[in-house]
Amino acid sequence: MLWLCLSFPELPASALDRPGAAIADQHGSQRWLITSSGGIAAGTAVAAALAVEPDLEIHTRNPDAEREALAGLAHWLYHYGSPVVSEQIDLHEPGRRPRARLWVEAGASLKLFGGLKSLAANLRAELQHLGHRAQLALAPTRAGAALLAEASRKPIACFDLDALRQKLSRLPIASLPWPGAILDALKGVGLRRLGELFALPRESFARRFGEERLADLDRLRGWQAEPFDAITPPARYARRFELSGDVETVEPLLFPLKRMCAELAAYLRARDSGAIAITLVCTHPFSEKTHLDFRFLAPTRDAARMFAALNERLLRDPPQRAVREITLEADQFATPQPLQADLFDPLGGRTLDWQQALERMQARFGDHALWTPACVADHRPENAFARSAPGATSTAPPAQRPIWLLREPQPMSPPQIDSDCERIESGWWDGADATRDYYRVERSGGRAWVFRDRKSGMWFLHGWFG
Amino acid sequence: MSTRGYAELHCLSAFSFLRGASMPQELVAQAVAQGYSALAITDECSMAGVVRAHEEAQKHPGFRLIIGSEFQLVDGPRFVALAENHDGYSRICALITKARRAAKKGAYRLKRADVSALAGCSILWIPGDKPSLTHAAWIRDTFRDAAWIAVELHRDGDDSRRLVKLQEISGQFGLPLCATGDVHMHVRNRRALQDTMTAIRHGIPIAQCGHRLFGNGERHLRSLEDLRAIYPPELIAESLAIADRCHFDLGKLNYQYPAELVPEGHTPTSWLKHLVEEDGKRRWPDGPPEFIAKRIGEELAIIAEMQCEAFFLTVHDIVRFARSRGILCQGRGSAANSMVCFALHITEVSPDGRNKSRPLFERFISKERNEPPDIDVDFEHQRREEVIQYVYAKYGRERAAIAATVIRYQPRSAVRDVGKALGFSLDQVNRLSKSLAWWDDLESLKRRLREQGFKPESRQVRQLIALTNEILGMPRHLSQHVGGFVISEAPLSALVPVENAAMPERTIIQWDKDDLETLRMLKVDVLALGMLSALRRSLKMVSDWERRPFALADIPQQDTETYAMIQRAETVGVFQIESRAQMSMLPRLRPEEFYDLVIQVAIVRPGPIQGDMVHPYLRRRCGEEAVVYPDEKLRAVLERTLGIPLFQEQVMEIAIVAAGFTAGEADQMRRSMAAWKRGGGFEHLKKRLFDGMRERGYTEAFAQSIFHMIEGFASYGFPESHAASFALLAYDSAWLKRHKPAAFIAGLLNSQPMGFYPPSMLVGEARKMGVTALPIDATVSEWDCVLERDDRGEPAIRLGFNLVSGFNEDAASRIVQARKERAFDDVDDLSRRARLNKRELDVLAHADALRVLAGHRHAARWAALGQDRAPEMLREASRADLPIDLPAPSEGEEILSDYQSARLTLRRHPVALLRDRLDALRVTRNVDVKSARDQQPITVSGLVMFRQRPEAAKGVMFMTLEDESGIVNLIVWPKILEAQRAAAVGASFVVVSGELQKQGEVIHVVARRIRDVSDWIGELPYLSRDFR
Repeated sequence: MLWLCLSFPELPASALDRPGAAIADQHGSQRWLITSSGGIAAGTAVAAALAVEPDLEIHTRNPDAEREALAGLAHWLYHYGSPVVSEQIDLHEPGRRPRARLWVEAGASLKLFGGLKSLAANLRAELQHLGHRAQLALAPTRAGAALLAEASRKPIACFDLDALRQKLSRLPIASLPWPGAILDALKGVGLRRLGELFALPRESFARRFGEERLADLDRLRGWQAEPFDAITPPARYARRFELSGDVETVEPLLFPLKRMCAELAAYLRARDSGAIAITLVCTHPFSEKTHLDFRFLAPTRDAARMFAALNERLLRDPPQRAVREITLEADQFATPQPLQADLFDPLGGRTLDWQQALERMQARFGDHALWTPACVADHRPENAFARSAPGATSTAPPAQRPIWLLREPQPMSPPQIDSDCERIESGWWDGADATRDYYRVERSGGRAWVFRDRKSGMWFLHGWFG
Repeated sequence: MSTRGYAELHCLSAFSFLRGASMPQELVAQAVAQGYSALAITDECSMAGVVRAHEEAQKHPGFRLIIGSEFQLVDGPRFVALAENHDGYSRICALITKARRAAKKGAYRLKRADVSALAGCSILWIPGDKPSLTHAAWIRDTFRDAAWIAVELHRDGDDSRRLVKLQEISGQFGLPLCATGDVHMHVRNRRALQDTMTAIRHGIPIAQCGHRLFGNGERHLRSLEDLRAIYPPELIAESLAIADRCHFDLGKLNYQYPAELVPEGHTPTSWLKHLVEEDGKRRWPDGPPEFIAKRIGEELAIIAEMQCEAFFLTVHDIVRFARSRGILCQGRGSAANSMVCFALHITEVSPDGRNKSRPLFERFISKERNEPPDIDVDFEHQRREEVIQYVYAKYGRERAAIAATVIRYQPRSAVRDVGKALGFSLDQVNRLSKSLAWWDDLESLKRRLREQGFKPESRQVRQLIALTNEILGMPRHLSQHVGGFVISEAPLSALVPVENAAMPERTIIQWDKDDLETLRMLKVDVLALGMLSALRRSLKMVSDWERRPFALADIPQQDTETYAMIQRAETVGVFQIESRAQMSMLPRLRPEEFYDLVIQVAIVRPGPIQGDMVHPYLRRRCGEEAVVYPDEKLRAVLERTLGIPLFQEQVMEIAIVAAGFTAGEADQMRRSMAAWKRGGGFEHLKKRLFDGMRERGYTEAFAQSIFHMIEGFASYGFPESHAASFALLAYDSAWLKRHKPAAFIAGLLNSQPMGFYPPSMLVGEARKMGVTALPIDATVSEWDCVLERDDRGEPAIRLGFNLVSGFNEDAASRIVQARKERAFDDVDDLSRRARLNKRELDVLAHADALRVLAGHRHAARWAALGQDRAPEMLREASRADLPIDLPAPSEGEEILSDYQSARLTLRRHPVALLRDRLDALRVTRNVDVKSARDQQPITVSGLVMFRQRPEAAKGVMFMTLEDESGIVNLIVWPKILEAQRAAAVGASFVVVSGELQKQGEVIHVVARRIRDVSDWIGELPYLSRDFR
């Protein structure tokens, strides 16, 4: 077999959609960078990095995002050949970075693309589109290909074991993904390069560093088989993306969404399939979720079209609450027909489902005409009522609240008071500190909810009971 | 009735950590101001705040402070227990102790089954939002007619319905109602802080706290007018009636000193007198001179009058125990003013007025103060635990416990917690607390915020600054005091709750040392002092080497060579006078006799520095300025320090002589200044000082200068008596260094960590003094560094395994044991007979300690790693290990490994290897710096050994660099520091250009440009010790 290895040294950054950013890992109280950023190398302690570059913005890694990104990439790579194998090595030792690798058996692809150079160029271009960067190497062993890929930004190719052994021999011992204690011990006896390890008596080596490490060396140089679990893309596609914070507007969603569509398209191409329906799930604070289902009138695997559809949908129907993460899901597939009908063709005579009906109602009545009331845990009445998508969970307010709350409190003359006072003093942290005394009063035949602002002493009508 | 105001019976202070947003004293003062007649402090399962409240309440005669506690049962109601009398108080303490001991540090756990009727207590049931009838029944059945329903109305819109509901329950269960406020803060505008604390407690941002926050700020000490508008009068009357039941007064706590130290037939007074006479015979074999006998008599009379013999007897007993075990100890602090303490061998410097000093017994104990004396004793730091265990064993764990220390919000923790609560991201919070680097204070925060990319004007940042300021100093949790023991005749848990400390087997009481002092409880400080350990070890080595007993008493006094060494500032390792600041003072002060050392110890302190005393004193000492006195009366006070007051005792005497204070008043002034941080109250004394001085004809300016000085002394003052105790140890250690350098340095090495200098510099110092240092070697080394004869027959230091990081004493003793039988053949033999595991062997190999057995480091580590872990019987069958040839490490690698393993090397200094590169940069060797001219431009380099930014130095940072020839001290001005912060703060190896500054023999390089060349030394560990 001839393995093409893709190593993703920047995955922790690109998985967060922050190419080139400084990402830190943590073990106990120690924090260190796992991507290189600016002039600062991966492995640098965060404290040291900040001493050199006080303004450096450092993000905490998200291993889940890395795992999902790598899984997405594996599905994409499936398009180039099979088997595809994926591996993440995470030592969690201060100063060391995680390793994310994908392999694909490349004998067939090489022929197809006319050699490594053009295959590499092709892969690079597609990866750039997906927002990732990989280092490549080709070798007869998976482990060997991985070490070579990690060692150099330029693609390296070895077609036989001899060439591989020669190349590996020059690598420093620190390039092995072994525990730090073993690397230290090797260094402590004066060994520097893999070639020196290969030259040691096998027994003596195993006695000191364990049979497992000897087996590692043997797999590297092709003396021992490398078992693997090949990856096949699942029948259901789901890709999650965690945003870097609470996002209030649509624009910041679009970039990750574009990439997700490209990935979904790659996934579909790899399976020679198309999606009939896709769902965009927006997750809000308190784990509330908004689902935007989208049914195509015919199966598609066109990234641009999928994106355009979602984009259009989001612009018209932006999420009503801050969004923390988005997930793109697809589980209904069919082979696309050569000709695709126009999206949203109302005259096409096909059945509109409920969502589409809703969408059209919203389009007709205006963006905010349709909403489900929900309660939010906030003492301030105007914050306690929120417009929420159907199915949102609610927290009951501690005291009785009117059914009809005015959007803006209306100034009024001081009323007769005959009820308990509800004093509300809350919200100083977001600049809208309310200090009010609320009362229920009879007014124009109804029961009104009024308050006196404690700062100004002025009276306001804020709502009606029943 | 209405004239009696109101009694608030449910009130939490900041000692209900992260719930209450006001200090107990703020609550008491505000309750008084609002016209309440009583206030109960009812912290959640705690008595930690009550003494502060008590102190404040003392200032308001007629106001009643009630002591109580709030409990939340895991399976039931929340209730408040109020102490009606001493008995009830003890029961609450016992209940808190039970609840706290049943949970891990900081938490408590109490079930219904744990609670029985609390006789002597009034109980308030705190029904929740939805009052449970089961809880009501349990309360009634458990506490019967001592229980009430607390009606807490907070204008949440439902007050009248709630009142009706509780009235129903009251009728149904026969539980009367009373008005309480569930107070969480003394005034309404602590609302933001209280919300912030809630967020911190829940670990989520405030904006997400929702209904976890209180809906309004009603939980403060509301005005009587407000309360009367909310509560029916009979509920307020009921609260007052409950307050009337509560007579317990914390000031009348039934505390008794332990009695067992007085044998039968003696009173404490007669027994103390007896001991002073007995022990005094060793001080004065021919009987004390008359003036000393007279002073002893006077002191004993005051002690008897104040009935605090137990303090002396207890400390005497502990000291006697330590001596019987050969543990060096010495009293410190103001106790050295006492002739009785000297006679009892608690302190070592005779306060007899020779040595120039003027001891002031009132500094130690005074009738006016009516407080027990403070006797602190230092013990060898590595053997203090034996003393602690002795105290526990002698008095039992029920009667002896360690005092608490209140951990308060410091700038860094405040910014972190408040920042997170305000919703700053973790990364922002990290940058925020970075902007408070280890030496920054809150004042510089705004500037640093801007540098870190925050806008100080933004709402979020303004809130952060305001809340950080507000939370600063608020208690966060209780921790263990370093060595303050409280001992009582009766079980402690009847006096104060006891809870678990972080250390297993340790329990702490809920009061800190100030609380204990306020309540006049016996507290003994068992402190640790590294130098005592080092001295004992050095003395033992001298005794062994010279084959004669050699003790501190055998050190000759007034040794000229010792003083000459001190004057040359060759004081690395010497107690107290070894720091950079001390060293730069020594050539100017040139100590010639013991009293000069007393001054030297005291003068390099923030107190004298802030009081601007140092330079006038130096000028006068060098004869650059005339020695003058304000008048003849003050001449007597100030003559020994050339007219410049340097000690606390002198400041007190000035108040006595110049302002007509009594000795007790003078001490009160000093203390109330020191207590400033605890909450003020010295204005009247200030006025009295100024008036008194004016009356006696002193100028306003002089009075101002005295006051300024007292301010400087308030927080950092050094009593002369304390300085004298320390000066004694400074002299002893200096003598040992001068005359027995090998034993002295070995003693220091064996007592690490301690002192100012790392082992590498101590070993370097020994070699500079001509002592040979021999490498760590498995065939000869022991755990400790020991003396070995070198080829001249002189004592050499054989470095011990204790310097090897990652090695353990047990393995070392196995090696020594096995070696006694016969020498080791090889690594295999060592490993087998000393039962060393693979890791232990590898650690030794890494330390180059297997050199004799296995050759160079690489070979030794290969051999160590190859040790077979198979049991003996299977060894024969194990596979052959082929010999291999490994390259020897280079000199640089060897030095690196030396530092990694022992943080020192006996080979060349790492900088020596880089000399060619440094020469190319025209870097001067440190040893040659002193031959350069003043003001001359110069470039120096070295490993950064120290960084210091003393508070008194106004932002200047001092750095010490070491190269192969010695050290050089740098001055980094704030401007340079800011501009080149990364290199100045983070580098471990630097090249620094600047200019030379010479003041007599004191040489500094003023840094202009700092270049970080840490990468030249690769993986050498970070060596610098960074101080504030």
